[in-house]
Amino acid sequence: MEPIRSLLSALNQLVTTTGVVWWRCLPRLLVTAMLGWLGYRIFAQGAALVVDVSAWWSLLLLSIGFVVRLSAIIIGLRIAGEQLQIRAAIPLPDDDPRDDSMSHLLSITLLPFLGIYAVFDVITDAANHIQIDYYVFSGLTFERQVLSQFNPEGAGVWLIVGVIVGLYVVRRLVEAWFERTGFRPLGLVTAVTEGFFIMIVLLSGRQVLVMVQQWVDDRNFRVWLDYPGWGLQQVFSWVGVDISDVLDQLGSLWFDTVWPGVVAMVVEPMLWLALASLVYGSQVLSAADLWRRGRPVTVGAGRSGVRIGDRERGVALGFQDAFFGDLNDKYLPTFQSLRLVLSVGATFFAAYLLCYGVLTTGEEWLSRGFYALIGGQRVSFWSFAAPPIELLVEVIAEPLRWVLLATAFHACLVLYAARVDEEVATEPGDGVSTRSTGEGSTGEGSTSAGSTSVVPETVNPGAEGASA
Amino acid sequence: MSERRRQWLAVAVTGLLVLAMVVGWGGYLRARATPHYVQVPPGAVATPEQGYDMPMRLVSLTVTPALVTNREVNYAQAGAVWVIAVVDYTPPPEGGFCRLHLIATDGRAWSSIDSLGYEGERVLPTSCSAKPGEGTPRVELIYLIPETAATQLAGLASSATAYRGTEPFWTLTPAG
Amino acid sequence: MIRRFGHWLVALLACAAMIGLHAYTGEFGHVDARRATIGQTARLYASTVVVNGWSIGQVLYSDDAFVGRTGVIYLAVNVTVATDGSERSTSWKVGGESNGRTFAVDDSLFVPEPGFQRRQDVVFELSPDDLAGFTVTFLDQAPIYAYDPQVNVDLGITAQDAAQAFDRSRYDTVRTTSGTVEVIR
Repeated sequence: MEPIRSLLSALNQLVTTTGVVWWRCLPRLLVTAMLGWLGYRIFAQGAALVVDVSAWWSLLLLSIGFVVRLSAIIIGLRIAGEQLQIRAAIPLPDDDPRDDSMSHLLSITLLPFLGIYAVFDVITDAANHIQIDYYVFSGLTFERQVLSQFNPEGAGVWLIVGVIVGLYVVRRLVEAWFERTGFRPLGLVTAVTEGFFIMIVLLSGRQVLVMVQQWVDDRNFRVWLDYPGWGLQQVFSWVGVDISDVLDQLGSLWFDTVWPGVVAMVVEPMLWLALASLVYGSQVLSAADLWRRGRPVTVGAGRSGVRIGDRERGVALGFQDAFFGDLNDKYLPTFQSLRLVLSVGATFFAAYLLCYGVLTTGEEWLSRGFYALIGGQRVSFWSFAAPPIELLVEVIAEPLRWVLLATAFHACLVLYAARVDEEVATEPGDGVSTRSTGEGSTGEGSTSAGSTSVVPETVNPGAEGASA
Repeated sequence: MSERRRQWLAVAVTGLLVLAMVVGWGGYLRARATPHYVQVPPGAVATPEQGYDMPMRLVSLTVTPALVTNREVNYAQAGAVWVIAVVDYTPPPEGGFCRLHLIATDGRAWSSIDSLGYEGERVLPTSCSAKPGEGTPRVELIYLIPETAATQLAGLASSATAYRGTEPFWTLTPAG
Repeated sequence: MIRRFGHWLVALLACAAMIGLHAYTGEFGHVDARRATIGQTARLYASTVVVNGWSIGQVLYSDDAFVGRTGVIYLAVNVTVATDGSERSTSWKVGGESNGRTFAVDDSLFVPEPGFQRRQDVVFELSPDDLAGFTVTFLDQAPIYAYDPQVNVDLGITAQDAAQAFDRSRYDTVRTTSGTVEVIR
């Protein structure tokens, strides 16, 4: 009964805190949601209008739309976070750029954000929606889908590769310029360039994967992969069981029902929570920062320390910063955030999943309810009726989702701190050194977030204010 | 004014702004997608087909219960009548396309019957297939409509499926 | 340890519940499905449709021309489509559903011009098990669509009705017609 009781109490805490914070922040969240939606719609509609001029311009406008959407999410999360006083619970140094630089936040969250959207096909859906908007506006459909323009075939491959490399270089240059001058709009230009770059990689990368799969299917060795299946079938046919039918049914059950459910109801909430933690800032140091401070680098979860001598430092540092800056800024933090969330405990995890699942399902049912209320109509009617419905549903559901993310993250921090306090209380004396070596204390968000209250000096080198 | 009330005012203002833009844009899309028919003076020349520069003139609009062909007399079903529209047109260089609907004053639109709808053949062609430079050829468009609609006919206009714009749909009216 | 096991079990149950909820919610079908019975008129935009009756057989004649003989059965459904609105729709799709499977028709339905109606037959080819519970669906959906109405007409064939129909007319000849246009009275 104890697990159920703790589940119910976690649920109760999440729901009531979300409700209270939602009510308190409601006006500001509504404004953010409305403006975010409007901004996205304007650019998405613009993308549909220019698509017959060039698919590249169309994709550029679409990526700006996604940047606007992400900005709205970040602002919404921060509003909710302020109300919950998350900032006070995190041991970031006072001059951490996360605090006042929107473009810095955008730059670290854009890749995971677009990655999440890519996983859930939101980007390809948006690109396909361009065709619908184009039809509604001009009455024609175009012969090739927007996405097929990014299909790397023949000469097109080099064009796409060239554009990707070119965009990467441009983005790095603009970023360097921004860091030197601090001219704010450049930060936004960086974000837009990066968004455009990521979208092209995602859309064309998909095609590359399909091409690779087709290439593999054409090879002879592909047949070898079928042998185990045939062998199994032969074995089972001796017993009289049609294994292929059973496997087909199991396979269709898994791929059609279970796996999409897992992805949508378990993986997606966790990814969004990781994104929220990126926005709020779990303490993660970049490998380059550590290096500059003269310590040996420990990249990764403390499993294998990569020790690099001082001699190669100067040359390699520049190289690493240029190309692995992304690794440090984006991949590591996302991974650390996931670890933070997963380490809090199974009951909280269950309560959070239940809340998020009910919220997204409710949003879907609300949208369907509006459509059913109006009834079936021709597409020309929906072209002007669907946006208000979408706006209404989003204005109701999005703020709730942002507040739920903020509440869940705050609860994670509090629970984690409580757990670490508990561990310290049960491990007298030796507690400090065990944690600092055992858990790879240098550069790990999970440890520092909870343990600040206990030992700031040795465990949190970043708190000394030497962040590069 | 308290902070909270100021915030709600901001919500109202933003809401109105967003709603105005949504309604405005939606209205514009709707105007583009809805044809508005404008009748030309009787017997005048107009270019009803959107996207084709093909001037046309409705010469005559005849309502008859019997359609005479070289083989037999086709009588329309009980309660229905044939409408025979003779149209002069000037084909453009790239060739013409005439798929005109017969429009009634209450908005109903009938599309023309192709030659499979009746037995035999008639004198004039049923499609705008003449080459440019052959004068002003004639085409005959035949419609089958309920008797009750015969007195409410407005004229011929283009079918509206693929056009998006705010240009009027010129409706050819017969002379006299 | 039992305590930790209990927590993870609860978490697993929560995951399973959410996966079940997701499966139940499903995809947005983009159709507004409404039910109708035989003899009941239903509207799809500017036209109405009513199912008059059905018959089965093994040999098919369409408009007095021999079409074919099937190893299973032909189901001919007689419908009347009337257009009392302002324009004839060209995007009708007729289909059938039974036992979770969908069936297509070979020839599409003729939708008449405004002011006219047409009584015609729609033919499905299906195996005898699929006759009971057969539902005919009429959908008016353009190539670009958002949310369109669909009419589902359950023919009301119980297993017993199907058995009786097989006894009577399994090997009959089905004569279908594409109908003639009449003015709506």
